[in-house]
Amino acid sequence: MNIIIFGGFLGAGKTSLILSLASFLIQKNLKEVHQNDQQEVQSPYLQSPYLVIIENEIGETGIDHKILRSGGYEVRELFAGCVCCTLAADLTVMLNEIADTLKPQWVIIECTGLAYPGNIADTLNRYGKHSDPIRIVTVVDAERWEELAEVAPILVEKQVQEADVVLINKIDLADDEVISLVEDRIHSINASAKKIRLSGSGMIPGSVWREITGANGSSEEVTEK
Amino acid sequence: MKTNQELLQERTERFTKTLALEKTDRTPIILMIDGFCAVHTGVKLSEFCSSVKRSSEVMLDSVKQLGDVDGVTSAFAVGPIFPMIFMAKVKVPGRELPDNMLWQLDEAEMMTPEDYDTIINKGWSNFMPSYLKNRLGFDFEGALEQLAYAPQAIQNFNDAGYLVYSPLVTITVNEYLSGGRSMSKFMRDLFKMPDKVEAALEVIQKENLEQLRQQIRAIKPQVVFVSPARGASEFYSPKLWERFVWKYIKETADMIIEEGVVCDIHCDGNWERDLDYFKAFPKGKAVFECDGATDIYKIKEKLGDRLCIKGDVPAGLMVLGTPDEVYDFCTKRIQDMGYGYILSNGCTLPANAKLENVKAMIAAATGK
Repeated sequence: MNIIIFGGFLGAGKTSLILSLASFLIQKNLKEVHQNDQQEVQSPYLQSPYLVIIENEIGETGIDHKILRSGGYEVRELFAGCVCCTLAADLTVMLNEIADTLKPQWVIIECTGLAYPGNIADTLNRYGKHSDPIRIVTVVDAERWEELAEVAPILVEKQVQEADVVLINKIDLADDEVISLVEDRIHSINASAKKIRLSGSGMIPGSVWREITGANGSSEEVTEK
Repeated sequence: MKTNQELLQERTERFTKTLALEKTDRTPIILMIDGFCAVHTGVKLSEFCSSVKRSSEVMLDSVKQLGDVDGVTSAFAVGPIFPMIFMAKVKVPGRELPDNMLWQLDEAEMMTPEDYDTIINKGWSNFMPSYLKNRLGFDFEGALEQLAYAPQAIQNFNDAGYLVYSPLVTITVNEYLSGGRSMSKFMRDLFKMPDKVEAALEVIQKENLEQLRQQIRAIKPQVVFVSPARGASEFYSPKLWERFVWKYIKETADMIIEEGVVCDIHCDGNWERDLDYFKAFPKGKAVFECDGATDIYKIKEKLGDRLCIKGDVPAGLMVLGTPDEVYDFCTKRIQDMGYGYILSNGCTLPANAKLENVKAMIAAATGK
């Protein structure tokens, strides 16, 4: 079970990017199923959801579950009764249940914008039943970086610090000079993370999701949000 | 065998000494519980949330079964009335959610920037009730009617021998706007129009403090619970934190202390950067309530000679840990914190916490 945690402040565009990644993974799965059918091999993922998305964002439009379910994956909602103090535990319980029952190939977790994905990964690694490494993707809003770095510096810096990949989103809304400054700042916080510029409002190159998922494929693929 | 009144007296004495950082026979244990009690007693969360009275009955039943705890933070579940606290909608089991799903804050941009002007010009009390009714669709009068049961709920716990830690609850005023505007939009407002936000907060604060003062005089609580819910240092720059969070914590706590009452400051999240600010409070007059995100040893080092410390038992440990792990964690906290520490959950005990873990926590405090 591959797990990707999406972090980033409220409004950074996590949901749109998760939808794009989900679309990429489903297309990839369909291709694999098609190839297996031709070879008359039964795919284990035909019997259960290939992908589960766990939504935990507050204050944003949720994912349209009906559309996603028709595409072969499940969406689970998880909201804390209070703010986010019980989040990591609830996520672990839900993830263990998913591992036992649905056994999906992929799980994407959308964290609330006030959460630290690294802390959540620590709890999942300690108490979770999965064995594969967890990848952390932090989404940064290029247009609002300066504002958020001034308003909530500890939060945004720690979210970047913990990431394996930082997606610098909404580059269509910021000029090149601002984007370069944002990228430099992110590099100074987390030099080892892969930084990718993109715009979630448009087409996302398949290469972005291959980088994150480690999937093979042609570099011309694009996915819609 | 002690009567309930003797137990209440013993527990109150232990608790009062702990608030004053004085020596006690043992560390008091106060549970911050709500939804857990429904799960524990086999009551559907939809039924639990149906009224203040019902939630209180279920909580008392659960606490009686748990045994020798000193008290509970609240005598009833506050989740269903979250709109009055966070100015945001709440989804409730049996209404918007399945019967056994925990209530959820449904935060969205319900207040507009223009509302700041309305608050400034017309006052908070002229804005808030109609906002709750018309914009959030919240039954404000119905909630007030239900809350009229609160004194009886507290009395029922007392009659059973348990103290109710904070009969009076308030929130720092920035949280009204953060919830109503949504956290994301509120952050933007602090960046784009800080003076207007501050002007609105000043109006709310003035009215809030006056109302709270009257409530304190009427209810005469031992502790008032103040929640700067999302006011942790980690969410704000030092400048903004001082201007939009600390200012209102300090003013509120000062008023509560002035009225002769202890102020509990519910510090969810990491407050490490700003612990020194809390040195402003007189000894034994405030409680630093933490949820495990702020290093409790740093709290003890900086504030232990001045403030009582409450909480720190992590929500995750209660759900995912073993009874031995919980017992060891709690025992270590009790030993390391010494007098002036109240064993309690870091924020609310999760509804899906393991019963054996709760019993292990109680055993760590009572030695039974």
